[in-house]
Amino acid sequence: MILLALLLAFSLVFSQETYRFGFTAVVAKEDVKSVEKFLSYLSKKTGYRFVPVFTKSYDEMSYLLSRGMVDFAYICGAPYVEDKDYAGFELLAVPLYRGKPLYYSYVITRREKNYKSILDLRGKPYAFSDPKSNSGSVVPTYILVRNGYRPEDFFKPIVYTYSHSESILAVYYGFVEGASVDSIVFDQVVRKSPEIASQIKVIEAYGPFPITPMVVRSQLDDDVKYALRKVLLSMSRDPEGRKILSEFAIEGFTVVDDSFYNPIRNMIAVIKNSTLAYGYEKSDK
Amino acid sequence: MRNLISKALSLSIGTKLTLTFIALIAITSIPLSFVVVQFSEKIYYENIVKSLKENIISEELQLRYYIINKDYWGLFKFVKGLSEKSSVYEASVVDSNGMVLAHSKPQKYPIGSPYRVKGDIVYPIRGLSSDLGSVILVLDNESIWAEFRPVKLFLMFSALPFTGISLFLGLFISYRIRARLSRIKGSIERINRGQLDELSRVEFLEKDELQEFSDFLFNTISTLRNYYENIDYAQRFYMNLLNTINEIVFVVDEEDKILYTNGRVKQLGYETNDLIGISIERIVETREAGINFKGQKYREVMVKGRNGHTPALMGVVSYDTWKIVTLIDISDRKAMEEKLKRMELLSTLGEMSANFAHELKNAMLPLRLLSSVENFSREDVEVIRNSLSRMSRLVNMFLNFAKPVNVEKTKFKLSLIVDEILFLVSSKVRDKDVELVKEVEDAELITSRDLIEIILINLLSNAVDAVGERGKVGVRAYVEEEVLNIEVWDTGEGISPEDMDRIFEPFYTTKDSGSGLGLAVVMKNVYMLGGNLQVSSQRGRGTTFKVKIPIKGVQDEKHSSD
Repeated sequence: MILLALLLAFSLVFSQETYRFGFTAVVAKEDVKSVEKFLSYLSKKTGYRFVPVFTKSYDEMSYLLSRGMVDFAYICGAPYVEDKDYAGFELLAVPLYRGKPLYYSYVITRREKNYKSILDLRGKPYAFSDPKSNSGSVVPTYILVRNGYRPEDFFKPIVYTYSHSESILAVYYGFVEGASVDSIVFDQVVRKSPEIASQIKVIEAYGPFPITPMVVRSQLDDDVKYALRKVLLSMSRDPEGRKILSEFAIEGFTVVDDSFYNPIRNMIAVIKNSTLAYGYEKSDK
Repeated sequence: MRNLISKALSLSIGTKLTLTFIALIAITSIPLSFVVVQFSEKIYYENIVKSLKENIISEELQLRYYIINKDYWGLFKFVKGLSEKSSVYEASVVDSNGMVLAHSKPQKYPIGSPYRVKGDIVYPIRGLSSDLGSVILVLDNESIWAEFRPVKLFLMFSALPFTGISLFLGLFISYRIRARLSRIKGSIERINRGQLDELSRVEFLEKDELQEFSDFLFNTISTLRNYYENIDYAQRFYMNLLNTINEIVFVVDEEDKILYTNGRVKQLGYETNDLIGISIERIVETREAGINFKGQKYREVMVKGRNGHTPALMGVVSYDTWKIVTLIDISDRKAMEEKLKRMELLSTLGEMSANFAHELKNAMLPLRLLSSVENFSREDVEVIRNSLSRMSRLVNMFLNFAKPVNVEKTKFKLSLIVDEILFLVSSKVRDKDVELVKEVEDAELITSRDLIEIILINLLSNAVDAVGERGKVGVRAYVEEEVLNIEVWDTGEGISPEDMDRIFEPFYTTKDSGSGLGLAVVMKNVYMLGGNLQVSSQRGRGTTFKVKIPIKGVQDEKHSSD
């Protein structure tokens, strides 16, 4: 929030058209340098000025978007599906992961552990990232509900880290026995912190699911939307752009329809209709 | 134990001081180091605890939020952060039931497991009405002490330099005191060996009690040395003095054993050492009562020498337990006395002979004149008879003088012997035309007539010799309070002060033809009669001799005569 206030102050000082770009648990927060490079690349290509805004949760980002305090945001498919109507944002572009706008939800444990499936982790502490994250919360909840378990009872307890990278750390430290994480973030960690990744193994991969999208506030000027989309889509053709993309473990951007996210809508619907899903339970909390 | 104490007490001062220093250093520095180390450990430990507590306190608000929201990951990051500290062995947050919310060792204590460990720091996180849970820290004491060890070592050994310095100072002071004491000792030892001259003040850099003590010793010994030297000097002085005087001096004890004698005993053929310890009576022969006769101060005794007997005058002075006996060799004096007697006789004889011859010639003159007369008248016969009578008297008188000196007391008339003596010198008187003034009491005396005569003749003869032509010579004799006073005066030149001291010496004379015995004999005779003699003389006016002789039995019969 302080950072936000600072950026607002900056935007007043520099009359150059400034847009706020929000980042969530989708990227490793530690990698501020990559974010800076990405934004300065966008500025160079569009002539607009972009400043980063980080939030801990997707809810916060949706709120900032709804209030016009953030213009663009890199969020997750689940919050897109759930918040786009109330917060008033739309798809700008989707990254290409391994050539496709699809990614996976990994179930990870420490390397020496013998768990074969998320179902083996019953009664163990287990890390979810954001409660609204697709890969870090919706997918494992959906899997457990489908298997007849209530996640809050199944794990002892669910540990919310609000960050895929911190979920990986929680596994690394042994604080949780397992975690569900975004495969893109996991790949980033593998690339940047091999000593951590080497202690961790992926025991299950669910998916593919529609990838984490970049969204834009619906009210924003179409010229800006267009200009930014153009840059993003052409990034993979530019060596400099490619280099920056690789730091985020993605290859480029493409454009998809809203219906592309229906699989996530379906999963959420299943969870919400289940008596096992959180929010419906009567005990424990 | 007692042995040990007495052994310790008889150690040298230096060793004692050194040991005391070491003991003091040990007593002070070891507990001090111990206390400092203990204290530092405590402070160090408390600081760590305090710092950890502050850590918790600064996060308290966040922790409360984490616990309420069951943000295990937030709690874990907190305890993980704490456990990163080397002083923390493990950190955990437990809920109000003691169940783990987050533990730095999650594999051992997973979420929800009971945690029964009694932590070193337990910090409760309070909610609105009750404790939400607590932060429990178990400290890694080993690691804390490992970190503290260098500090501890430093503290422990930081006392070492001071200990070293103290020890060095202690040893130095001990050494100094020891060295100083041995200097004092050395200087006293030299004195002990008798090298008194080498006595010198021992001076130290330190002006302390030891210096005072040393100075005190020095002053005392100096005083003693001076005293000793004075005594030594006095001893030699008196020894020399005793050896210089003519008397043989003995010091004897109560049993008359000789304790000391001066060098004069060599006169007797003895060595001092021969006589020490023997009784003095073995070498001194007294006529009566040994040496302890109280009657007279001086007595004549005979001393047995190696080479025979020697007459001596013995004096004895008694003190409490000892006596001083002096012996004066009077053998020379005895010989002198004899000689004097003879000389005196000869002198008297000579005087008398001259007078006698002169008188005889005068007495014979009428006879010679009458020898040419054929018929003697009655007057002539009377003259002859008178001449013969006079001649007879002269011869008798001469005969009397020829007799040896007789000290026996006889009865005689004073005026008579004065007339006789005046007669003896009458020729001289007439030759010089001397006016003779005579004042003689006609008393009868009982004393030694010979000695009185000798006194008178010598004094009168001297008086006549002393005056010039037509001088005056006077004689006055009277008895007063049983004392015979004889005064002989003249109007001569007087006696010079230089001569005055010597006139009584035998054979001292200022006259061309004198024997030098006259006044000596007078003196001796006065002495023998127990009297005294006074001389008064004025240059150019004359001389007066006054003799006082005690007498007894003076007769009242008094006549005045010319």
